[in-house]
Amino acid sequence: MTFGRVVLFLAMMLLLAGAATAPVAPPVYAAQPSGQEASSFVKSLTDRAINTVGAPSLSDAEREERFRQLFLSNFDIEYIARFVLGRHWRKASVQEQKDFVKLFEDITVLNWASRFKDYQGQTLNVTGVKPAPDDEVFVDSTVNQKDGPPVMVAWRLKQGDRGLRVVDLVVEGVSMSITYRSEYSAVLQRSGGDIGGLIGALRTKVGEIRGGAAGK
Amino acid sequence: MESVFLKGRGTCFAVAMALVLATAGCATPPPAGDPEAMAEFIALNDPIEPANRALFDVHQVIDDFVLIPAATAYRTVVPEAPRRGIHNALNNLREPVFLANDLLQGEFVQASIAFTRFCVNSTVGLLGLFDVAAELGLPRHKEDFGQTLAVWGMGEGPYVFLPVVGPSNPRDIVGRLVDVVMDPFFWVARATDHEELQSVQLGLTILDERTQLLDTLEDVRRTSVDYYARLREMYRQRRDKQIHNSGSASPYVSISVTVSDTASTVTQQELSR
Repeated sequence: MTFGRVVLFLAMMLLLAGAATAPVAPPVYAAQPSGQEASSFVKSLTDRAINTVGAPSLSDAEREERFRQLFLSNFDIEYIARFVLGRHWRKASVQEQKDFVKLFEDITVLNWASRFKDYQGQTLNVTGVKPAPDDEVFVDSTVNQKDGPPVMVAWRLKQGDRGLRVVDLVVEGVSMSITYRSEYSAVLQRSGGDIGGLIGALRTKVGEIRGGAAGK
Repeated sequence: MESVFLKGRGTCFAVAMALVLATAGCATPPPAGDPEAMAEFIALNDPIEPANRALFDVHQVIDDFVLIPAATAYRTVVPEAPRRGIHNALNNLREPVFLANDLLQGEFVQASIAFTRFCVNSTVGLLGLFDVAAELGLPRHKEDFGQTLAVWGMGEGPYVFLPVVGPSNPRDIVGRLVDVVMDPFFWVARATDHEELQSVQLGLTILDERTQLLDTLEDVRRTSVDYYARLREMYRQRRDKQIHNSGSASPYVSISVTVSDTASTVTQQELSR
């Protein structure tokens, strides 16, 4: 073996050793959003929500419209809807999937928009950012209320083609997506997996919420 | 005489509940050939669902006709300051229970905080009416015996819904009973022959807790297509969070979700501890 070959052999061994130790290093995700980016996304989203949706002078319809715009441009509604429907998503027809996404959007928007009536004077502090697999990141925050203890809210964000989008909200340990998923799967289980039945129930519900709001 | 009468009523109530349970029966598991449905059934952990739903209906009637009107009246008539005072005082009375459970769970820092809170709030806080300790940077931290049992490794058992008590499970029901006998106030009231004070404490606690939840539960009910199922899931997640005392707001350190149309969608939650 010539000296050159020995050097080559040693170099290859070093490369192999390097390759073997590489997976031990902390994982780096390709399109991982930076902590700064994620944290300012959450702050700016809540600021806009409190300032534009929470304005006390708004009518219910205006508040709903403003919240819907903010919601659609910052939440990945289809991703959430797919998760919520789970295994039933596959069995649904394209039309059923579309109907479900739309109704799910309505019910979330109607639910939250009305809550912003009393969100004046609340502030949000980001307390931590944790990277996660699949281009995701968790932002931990506390929402300080005017009266009452602070509320812990975690935001699950996903980096997509159109930038960061919220894919789950976890309020005091309760995940929005997992809760909806469990509720809707109970409805589907009781109706023998009939997605049309769930869509009908959601449609009735949206009507009821709208009717109730108009009656007030 | 009176206590016999109350015991009699208690027995009647127990018999009525047993009848509801017996007639409503158990949930039918999905066919064994559908593993996804089966996994879902196991995850829901509600084998006596029909009985639970019957008890839930009983609760709804009590809620609509007694608890909600009482809580609404309480909130309308009594100003915020005295309501908060009562809320603080009720919790201060239970602080020794939180302390005992902190110790049983080996949470010694929390235990010392609970001890300090009880001393400060009972004196400077005027018998607990003011939560002075929270303003000094020692916030309230509730621990119950159900959580202690969980920390000791006991499983929750099947989901149970009890009228007035709300969502629960065998572990948490046992926990609630043990918490009652752990409470020094219970023994003081008995020793001094003031058992009516216990009823006042219980009544005010139910009123206070229902008032705190008025808006939240109204929202949940208004927007859910299955109120029972939504509450069941919320309870489970809330309890997990309380048991693990995680400082982080998010329930998972990692979540793997497959949203493709072909793969089965499985959530793997690992609770951050």
